[in-house]
Amino acid sequence: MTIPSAASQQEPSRFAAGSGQVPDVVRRAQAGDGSAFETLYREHSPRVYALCLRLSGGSTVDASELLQDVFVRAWRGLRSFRGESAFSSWLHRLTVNAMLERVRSEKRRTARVLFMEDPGADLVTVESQPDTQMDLESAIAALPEGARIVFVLHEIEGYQHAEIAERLGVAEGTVKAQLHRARKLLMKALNR
Amino acid sequence: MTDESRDNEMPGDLDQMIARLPREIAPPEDAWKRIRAQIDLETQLVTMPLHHREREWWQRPAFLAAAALLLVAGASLTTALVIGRRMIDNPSRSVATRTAAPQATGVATLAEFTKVENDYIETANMLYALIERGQTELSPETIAKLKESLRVIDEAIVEARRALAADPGNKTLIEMLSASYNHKVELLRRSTAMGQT
Repeated sequence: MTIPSAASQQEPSRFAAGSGQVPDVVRRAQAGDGSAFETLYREHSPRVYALCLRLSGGSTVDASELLQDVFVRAWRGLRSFRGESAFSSWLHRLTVNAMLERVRSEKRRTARVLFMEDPGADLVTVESQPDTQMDLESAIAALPEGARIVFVLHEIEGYQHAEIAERLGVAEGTVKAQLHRARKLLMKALNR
Repeated sequence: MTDESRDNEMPGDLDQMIARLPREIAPPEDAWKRIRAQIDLETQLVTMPLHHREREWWQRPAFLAAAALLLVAGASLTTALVIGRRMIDNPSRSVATRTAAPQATGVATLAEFTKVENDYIETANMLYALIERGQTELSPETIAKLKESLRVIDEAIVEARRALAADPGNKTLIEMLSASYNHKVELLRRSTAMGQT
């Protein structure tokens, strides 16, 4: 599996515009063709999984569950895809929505408040590794959940402050504060 | 980046590091298999032959088979609990704490149960994934028997779900569905726990 970097990506999937037409393989999947849906999975799952992994803080178990959730939702909701956006953008939205639902559900379950400061959460440390990219991945994974989600959506996926605030149901100022915190923690973790 | 008002600009090299992060990471090999299994289960739910509807839910073969299996497996599990106490009491800590059976106690409506159902499905999928990944020491014969038991329970779940679609207020059906899920998770949890010792 080739792993293109963000910089080498021709077209950021989130902003990819749809052609207004539903691609043939999507149309076949919409008609219930399982092999067409598998083709879509093979094509898009690496991108979705990367997002799941980062949003889940590097937990492969949680990321796998989220990936499964996303593609099962995609199968259920395929008929609602009309080609107004690229299929990858549609999947991207499903992924973010699924993750945020999990966070809210977990929050309800544990009565933990995601966007409040959690004591001790600023102690992000990263084992010194020779690979700086791995350092960065580890440092992102070690961020407190709220800061991590905001950071991934803004810095890696290109969401704007207002958009993130709307999705998370928090004030834009809270998003900016979380970003500031995430950057500060990353800088500290990476010793920069 | 897209926002103009960046109150804490990141140094250029960090921006470059972020830009170099891989946008694609290969998912686990078995991920598709699990997605496919869940889709198949849902498809089966929708496309089950009409003649199944002609019988009462409690008369259907899958339900009767599952009821019988519950009795047999319940007895087996009791035995396993006694004989394998040490093994069951000392499963992999992470699995044991993450996979306690979800609680459907006091669930009175289908809407309430649907919330718990997602927990059941997630827990069962996670446990099943451990077995599928070969992270247990269960013998192939045991795994085959386990899969057959799970298949029967899944059929019962599908039957109960269908019956509930026609009669959403039936509390007995909700209890049966809950019991089937509970049994599935318990079967998987104990299999995983024993297979990891």
